[in-house]
Amino acid sequence: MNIKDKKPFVVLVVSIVLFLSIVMPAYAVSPWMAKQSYGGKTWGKFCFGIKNSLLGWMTPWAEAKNPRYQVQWIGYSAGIGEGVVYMAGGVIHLATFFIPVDFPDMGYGLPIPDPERVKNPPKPYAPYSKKQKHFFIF
Amino acid sequence: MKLRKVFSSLNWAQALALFVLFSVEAGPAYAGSFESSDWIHESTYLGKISQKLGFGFLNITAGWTALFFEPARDQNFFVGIGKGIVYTFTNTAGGILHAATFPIPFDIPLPHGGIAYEYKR
Repeated sequence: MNIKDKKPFVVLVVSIVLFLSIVMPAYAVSPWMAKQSYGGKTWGKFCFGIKNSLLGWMTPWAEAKNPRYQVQWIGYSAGIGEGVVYMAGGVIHLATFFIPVDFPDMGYGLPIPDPERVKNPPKPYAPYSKKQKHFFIF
Repeated sequence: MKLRKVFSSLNWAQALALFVLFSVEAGPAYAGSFESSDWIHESTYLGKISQKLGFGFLNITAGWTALFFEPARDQNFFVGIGKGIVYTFTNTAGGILHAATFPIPFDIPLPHGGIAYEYKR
């Protein structure tokens, strides 16, 4: 293949990178960025990529239950757009898992498990939260 | 074949460009009716484009419901029907434009910010 044949492709890639670097001023950190070691980050990025690329299509159903939207159909529609982006982003994360750079900035990604529940886990079911009584005194 | 001809014709492209230009220019001029879309409040690029695509899908699939929502509002029934017909067209066309241009995060203001307005009652 001649280098001249590759020129449009190189120009396209450089243009996309430049465009994204301009339009992406804000940054939402992916959960795997919290890991400290190289191994932890790459494994986290790999799992994040697998989860989003394979399960991204479930986003509409997850978003339909999001209390942020007044009607379930608005959440479902928002999930359609997010699902497309998460699946594409997940493939990029999966393909570049060995480079621990958070690109693209998908934030939490697919909201399964629910990020609010991860932050504030529900209290355990009341009967199990009670102190276990010993059957025998000793 | 016919559709391909329509899409490749210069007139169609000119009409689309004019509509986009009109929407962008008319937004600030008629701020009372043409409102910015909800997705522009997203902070990240991916958040904006995903919400823009979702907003487009919502307006394509539910834009026609304005035909029933508007006459049910507190206004003259026939005015409501007229508004419903207009909003059905603008919501659906706007939804198509939002979905078609979702990778580019520029807003195309719709009357009252699109169909989501109908649910905020």
